Amino acid sequence: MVLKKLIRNPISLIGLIILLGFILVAILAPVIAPLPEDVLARNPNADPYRIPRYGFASTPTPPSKEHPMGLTEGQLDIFYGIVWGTRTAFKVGLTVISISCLIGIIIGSVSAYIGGKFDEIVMRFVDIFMSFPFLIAAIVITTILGRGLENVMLAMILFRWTGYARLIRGNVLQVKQDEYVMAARAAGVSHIVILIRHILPNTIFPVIIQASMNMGSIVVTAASLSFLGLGAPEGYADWGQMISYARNWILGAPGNPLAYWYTVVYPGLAIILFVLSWNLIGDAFRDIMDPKLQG
Amino acid sequence: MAVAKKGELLLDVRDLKKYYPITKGLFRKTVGWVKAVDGVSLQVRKGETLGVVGESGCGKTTFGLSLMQLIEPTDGKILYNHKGNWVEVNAKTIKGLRSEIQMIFQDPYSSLNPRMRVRDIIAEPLAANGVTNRTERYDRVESLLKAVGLGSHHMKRYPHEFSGGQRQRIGIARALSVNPSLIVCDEPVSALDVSVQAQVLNLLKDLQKEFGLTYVFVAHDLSVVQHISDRIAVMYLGRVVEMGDVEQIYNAPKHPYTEALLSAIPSPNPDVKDNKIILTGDVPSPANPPQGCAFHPRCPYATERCRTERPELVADENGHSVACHRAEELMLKGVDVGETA
Ligand SMILES: Nc1ncnc2c1ncn2[C@@H]1O[C@H](COP(=O)(O)OP(=O)(O)O)[C@@H](O)[C@H]1O
Ligand code: SF4
Ligand SMILES: [Mg+2]
Repeated sequence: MVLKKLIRNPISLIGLIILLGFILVAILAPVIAPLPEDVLARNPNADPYRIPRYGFASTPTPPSKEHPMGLTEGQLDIFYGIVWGTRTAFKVGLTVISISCLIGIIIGSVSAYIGGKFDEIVMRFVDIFMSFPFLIAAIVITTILGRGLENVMLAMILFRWTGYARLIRGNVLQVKQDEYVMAARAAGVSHIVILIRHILPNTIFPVIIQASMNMGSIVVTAASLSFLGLGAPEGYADWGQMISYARNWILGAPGNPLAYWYTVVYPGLAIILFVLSWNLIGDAFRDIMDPKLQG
Repeated sequence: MAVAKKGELLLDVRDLKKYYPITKGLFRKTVGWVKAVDGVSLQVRKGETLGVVGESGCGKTTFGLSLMQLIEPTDGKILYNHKGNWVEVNAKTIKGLRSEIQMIFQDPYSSLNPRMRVRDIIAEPLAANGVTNRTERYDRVESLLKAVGLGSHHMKRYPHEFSGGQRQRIGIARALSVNPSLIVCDEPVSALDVSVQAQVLNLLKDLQKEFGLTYVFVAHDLSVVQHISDRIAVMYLGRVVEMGDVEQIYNAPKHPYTEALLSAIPSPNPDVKDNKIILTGDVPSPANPPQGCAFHPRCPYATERCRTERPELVADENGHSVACHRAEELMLKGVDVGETA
């Protein structure tokens, strides 16, 4: 039913179509961009997230028949990187969102439901987390734990849950005053069941909307951390990494500012479309999830 | 009306208190107390309706929630006659008493979970009290819906598809589901249109007869409770200031506050001159109640003694109790029971 409404709304339909495209690309990555045969011949178990290399020249190579989006500096296949990078984007986005959302929802709702001094203490703890500048914290974490996507995700989870915790806490504080919560207690329903059956269904949707809108920004953050060299290892299929390979070529060549456009436009476009699709869907969700509008 | 006068006691509340802390600052230091319920003692007999009346903020809801242990009382005892055995109602025993004592809430818009179907709302107390078989629960819901004037075609609907009166009927069915003996009704009609109020009141009366229910019926004025109550307790700032049979309270009130509440009942006869006693000033804050008689700043009969000495609740030989220094000398104006609609 939600899906039907998403499809009927032209804005969210566009978002949905773009997202569907990304999902297809992610699923079909081994078909769309298989590892070249010579790589497989050398190592049948080669990691498909390693972008194949076609030489060592430092100047990017423009698009051609074999490499439809061209090659980066160091001759990594851009098309291949974007296709497999879609998987990376989903992996990072979904992992960070689902874990940080889960942590935030549990901590925020329990804190608000218990209330009083307990809630006060938990929220001061959340404030402390929120007052850290994220980028510095991410640098510190990856310095301690080492470079890598997992550590970048860990850093993001560590600093993302607080937003969801706050959001759901505010909603729970309101809803727990509603008389149906009293009625459930009068009926003898246990606290945990009250939280799950009565409070969460009436407070969780704004958090889910927020989370879907954040999918894009998480992928952007992951990309910028990769751009800074904190995230994915060299040669890993990751959109941020692809852009970092374009770093020296964004300004083009003397007299021809557009000489290396393909190094930045394709990965940039992938990131922009990804963010856009989630935001469009999130906006539409907001309207749909209002219970008063439900038939 | 006072048929249940000599009946067996069902509920015995002794000196019940609920103080809410007023906290300040980061560490929630307690800087004072809101004495929402400040020493209420009363008894309810089996099968009767005790009306609890007082202006908004006088502690009626707090009293009702304390009875149900939905908030923890600060002090006092609540004793309940559970099939012949007196048990103290507290956080431990309430679990076993949930199917004995139920509640109907004030706001039918906030008292039903908007995301649950009617049948699950009504069946929830059953599920929580050991009726594990779903079919059995839904069968019971069907008969409950009929009992409150709704039908089985309403089972799968959501609350927003109903009017205020219908929603209140759903709330009533929910309270009835576990076959309770005592129902605390917290202003069950005050949020409804006047035209619907009478219907719901009549339904409650019919259900009382049918199921042998006992009601503690909370209201903020004396007009609503007149026809449903056997006895009335008038509350002011967390205390009972007058209590007695309906005839005693309406015909011969002894407390100036009761007199003022009675004068506020709209008369159905337009020829009768309006003798409204306008209560001046707001209800004082229960965080900082006046010295002496808490009603003295608004009482037209207040004397020096009222400002310093608090009157205790004293019962006469007919069981009519009042907390007023001048109760014996004042000739207060009541209304004829039956004169008002
Ligand atoms: N949870 C609470 N915390 C602090 N004060 C409260 C709380 N609930 C009620 N009060 C105060 O207790 C007093 C009695 O409230 P209530 O029992 O709701 O009165 P009534 O139902 O008669 O209108 C009011 O002054 C109210 O502000
Ligand atoms: S004690 Fe005094 S102030 Fe209080 S109600 Fe009686 S006359 Fe009025
Ligand atoms: Mg109230």
